[in-house]
Amino acid sequence: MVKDYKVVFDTVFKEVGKVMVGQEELLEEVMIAILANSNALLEGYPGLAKTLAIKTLSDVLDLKFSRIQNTPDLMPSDITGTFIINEQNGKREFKFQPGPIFANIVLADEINRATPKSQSALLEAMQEKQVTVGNNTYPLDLPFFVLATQNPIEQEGTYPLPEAQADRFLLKIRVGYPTPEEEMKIVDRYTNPVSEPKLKKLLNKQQILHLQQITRQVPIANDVKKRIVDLVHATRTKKDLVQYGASPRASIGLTLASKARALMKGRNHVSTEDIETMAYPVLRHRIILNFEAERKGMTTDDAVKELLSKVK
Amino acid sequence: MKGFKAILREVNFIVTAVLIFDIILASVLIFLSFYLALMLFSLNPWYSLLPTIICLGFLVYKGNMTNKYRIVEEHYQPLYEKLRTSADNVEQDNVVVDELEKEVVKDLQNVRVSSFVKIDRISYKVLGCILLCLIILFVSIYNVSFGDFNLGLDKVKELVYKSGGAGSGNSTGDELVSGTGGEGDQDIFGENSMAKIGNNELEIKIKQPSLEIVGSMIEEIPEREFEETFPDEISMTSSGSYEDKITLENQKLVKDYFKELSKS
Repeated sequence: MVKDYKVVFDTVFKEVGKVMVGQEELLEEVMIAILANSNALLEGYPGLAKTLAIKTLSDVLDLKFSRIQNTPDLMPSDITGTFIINEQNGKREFKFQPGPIFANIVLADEINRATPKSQSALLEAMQEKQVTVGNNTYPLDLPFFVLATQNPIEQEGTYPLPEAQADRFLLKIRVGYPTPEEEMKIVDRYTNPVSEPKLKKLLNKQQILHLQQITRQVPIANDVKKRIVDLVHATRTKKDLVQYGASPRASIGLTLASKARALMKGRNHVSTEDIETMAYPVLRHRIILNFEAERKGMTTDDAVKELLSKVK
Repeated sequence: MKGFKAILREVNFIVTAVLIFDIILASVLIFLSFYLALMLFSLNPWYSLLPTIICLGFLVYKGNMTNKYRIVEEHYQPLYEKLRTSADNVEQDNVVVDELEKEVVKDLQNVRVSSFVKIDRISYKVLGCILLCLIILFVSIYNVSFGDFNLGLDKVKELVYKSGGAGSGNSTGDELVSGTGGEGDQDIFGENSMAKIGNNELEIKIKQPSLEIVGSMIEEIPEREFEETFPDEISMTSSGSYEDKITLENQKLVKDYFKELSKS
């Protein structure tokens, strides 16, 4: 049965591959965030098809997609929606006009350009899967994911995500440049006079919700689970490397992400390989390196690598 | 799920049995090695029980801490992490776990008990035990020894005794009585080997102090005949008491002789 799921995911990635060239890791990690019923933060330079990847994936998964382009003047009501005066049969009444947050996949583009006030408007939606406007609370349509992007360059005039908000994202996905061969294919695909491929809708909301349930059912051995906890704990105790470690939310996130990866790979149990792969996107935005590590030119990925080698 | 629990119990039992056999064999080998070594140095060979017990305790602890399922997984790669996961999640009941359990049961059919028994390793150990037994027999029969290590210990003890404590002559009578004196207090009565009483055993009974004297408990002191045997190193050269044997008559004769001699 679990092996059949692998076929489903492989078919989904193949279908997305009709539009996308490369970026398999990005697609896999976004899918893992979806299976874990959580959110992801995408970080990469402009022009790396972040938005295209998400848009294509939402088309294949038959999910409602919306995009919020974050700017410093973006108001929270621009995200959540607001009450408007509606005139019907000569009567005027306030009617709630849902904002772009009312979708299944919300792409918050360049989230670090929005003010903290607007950024925090996403918090309730991400965590509680509901939106409160005025005195009313509106539940969001499930499945619901926020995929935020941020640009590692041009940091002037931006509002870096506070740690508390960054912690709410299950994964921080690094989007890298394509290889020269992939780039050749990209150039060919988008400069030739060929019509856009028509994508098949391979999954639907109900199936995704079912997959989310199955993900949580993937069993994990106690010693594998212990390694997760030890690894997250090591981020707090290894003071010669890390100034601030990860919260218990990281342990939960790493377990869930490992389960989702196991399911995606057609395995009916979590392996250490899943942990070693998922530790990077789960932990890289949850730890802050100390001065000594930064002086050595280390990145958070280097720190995670060192912690993985120490915690066996 | 009940069936799977029984399978897990069986796996656990088999691996534990193999581990116990291995531990016992290793302990016997250690015991024999130490036994032989102590024999060769003329020490009490039963002291070899001490390292054996320590080693046995360590091996049992190590064996107890080892994950039995991991041992099975190491012998059959397709089971890697699966067996442990299914064992840890045996109480869970869902489709994924059920599927995993079925896979594990299928894979376990390919695992043979004989794969846990390392024939070459066990053969070497058994061979080692037999060889050590034969050497011990040889050593016992021909009384082979690399030196009396016991004597060496005694000499060391003697040196320590002489260098300090009672041996230095600084101890007082009180110290000797109370037993809180110098380092050599235990030897103040001399070496045991110096007092030989032949083949007779000396029985010393110390009555517990009591205010009441029970007449029925007073026993006659058994008469024993001691054979006086002196150590070889003690021999008579001259004795002052030899002069006491000169008769008074002769003494007087000698005195008179010297008196007369002085007059003249």
